[in-house]
Amino acid sequence: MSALLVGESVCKYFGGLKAVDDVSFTLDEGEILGLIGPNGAGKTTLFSVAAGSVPATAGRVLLDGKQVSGRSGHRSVHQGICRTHQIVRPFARLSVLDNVLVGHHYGRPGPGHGTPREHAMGILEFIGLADRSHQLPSQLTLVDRKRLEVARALATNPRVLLLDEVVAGLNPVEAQRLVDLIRQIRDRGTSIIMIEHVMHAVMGVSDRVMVLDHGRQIAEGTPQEVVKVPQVIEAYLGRDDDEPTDADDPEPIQPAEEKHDA
Amino acid sequence: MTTATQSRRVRLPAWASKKVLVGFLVVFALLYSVPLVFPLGDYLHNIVGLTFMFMAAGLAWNWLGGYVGQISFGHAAMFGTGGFVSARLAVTFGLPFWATWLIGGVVAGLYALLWGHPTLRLRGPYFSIATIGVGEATRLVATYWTDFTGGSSGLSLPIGNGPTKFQLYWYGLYLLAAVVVLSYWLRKSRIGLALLAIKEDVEAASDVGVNPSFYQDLVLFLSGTVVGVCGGFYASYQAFIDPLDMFSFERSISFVLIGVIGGIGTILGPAMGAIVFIVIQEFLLANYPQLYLGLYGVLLIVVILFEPLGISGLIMWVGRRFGRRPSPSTAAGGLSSAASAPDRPTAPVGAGGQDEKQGPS
Repeated sequence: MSALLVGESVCKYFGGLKAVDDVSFTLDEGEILGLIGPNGAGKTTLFSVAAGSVPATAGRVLLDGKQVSGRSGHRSVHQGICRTHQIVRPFARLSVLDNVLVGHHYGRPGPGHGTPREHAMGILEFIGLADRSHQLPSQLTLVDRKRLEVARALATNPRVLLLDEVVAGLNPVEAQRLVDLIRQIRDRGTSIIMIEHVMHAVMGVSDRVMVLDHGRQIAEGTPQEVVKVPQVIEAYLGRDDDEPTDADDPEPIQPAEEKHDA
Repeated sequence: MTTATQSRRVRLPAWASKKVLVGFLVVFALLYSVPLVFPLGDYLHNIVGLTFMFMAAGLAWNWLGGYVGQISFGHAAMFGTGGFVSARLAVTFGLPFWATWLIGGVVAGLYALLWGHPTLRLRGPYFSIATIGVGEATRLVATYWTDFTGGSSGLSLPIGNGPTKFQLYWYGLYLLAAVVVLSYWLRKSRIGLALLAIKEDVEAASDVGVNPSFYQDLVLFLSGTVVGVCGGFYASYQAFIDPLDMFSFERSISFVLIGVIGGIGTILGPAMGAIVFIVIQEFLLANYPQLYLGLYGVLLIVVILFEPLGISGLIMWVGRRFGRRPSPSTAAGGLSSAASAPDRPTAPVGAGGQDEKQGPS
């Protein structure tokens, strides 16, 4: 296994706020890396830096040995890194199919088989949205809009997919389906970093987990190792220490849906 | 060019491509031959030629205002630049008129890039305000740059350099035809998809690989070039131009009005808007000049209140009413606010143009 995506002491400061402070990470080919941490830990900021849409204050991100430029998001998409947003951002007046076609036309060139339309339909079938291809995003349910967000990112033919809380806000059955989907995406050859608050989802699917708190990396390892690290328990899981990890999935649903409506 | 875009267009939308092409050719042939078969009378003939120019300018404005969603209140800057570069080339160097139009257009396009590249980072009202500033600044510079523009006394074109007003009808038609083809290409090719994505959400577009500044610059350049060519056409048409008219704020507003009346973001709406605009200007304002601003203001309010898609919206409404367009929830429905409706107006545009010509003659 070779490291596909490497972050070298990545820092991102907003004035005096150290949103991401000296975080190093690696992502191997075909790996799923979970990224967890309390709210405000800097997870999404790290994503923005890794996706190239925000320049790092210090440090750098390398994809296959080549530096990811922090100047503009579209360039790193062409390099092979694509991110999704926590609050889904579909192109509201484009059909589901057209949403995916944008990603296909402007993403990283891939092996061309069939017309762009067939290719996009193939992705929609894989994601499970094929029968909704002619609808507008506003006609989809939340889970389907999240799927659309993933489908559009997948259409750019990424080597690394950055998923920002795709499971949050879904009911357990939907969440499980989406987690299965994430595993299938990995099996098709895309490496994945996922931010997730739903513990059993991220712990179940990740090969490794990295924990951030206040911009700093406080633990890294397999899910089983990480949950035993005292700082993690203190910073993230241990605030009210009566909560076992499995029981807190109804919790994140509320805030996520609130955000979505906003 | 037509065939190249055609083959590209055939692949993307499966709907109506052949129909659109046939409609386009039929309307073109009709407009081309009608004045030869039924002479229209000088006045009307010239006005229709001028209408073609305004249609072309309105369509080009709509590429930026409608396709990308960046409303420009400064297109007079390019209109005037194109006009004065053309006029100056004709006066000083005696170049043939078509060359002056093209050079004027390209210079106007480059000028648009010059101010547009930085300002297009702004979006929505902020961009619009910036364009007002650009338009006014350009007008002032042009008014005081006496060596180039002739200042407030303007420039007269050499007699016999350009085509006669009678011939300009057909040049206007060629210009319009080229712009219509470009409008379709910009919307229906994959570029159109990028433009819609940028219009919806710049950041999300960038996150799936679209380069927003490149496509916005491209569209502004094309739009500025076409409007510049229109300025050259207008200079030839008037045979005399002065900066106060060419660069005026009313000129910029007129492009916005044409777009809004016809249907912002639609493919052919602004062409219909231009007809309404010319009818108002020539047949109402000539008699009641004091109504000028009030009338346009009322018109804008009415359109925005009752039918934000202007004439295109009305046509779509009528179409739905008579069951011609049953299900809006198709791929076309996704674009219906913008793309699918104008598939049909090809015919109405031509029909409207002919009604206008034949009615009063």
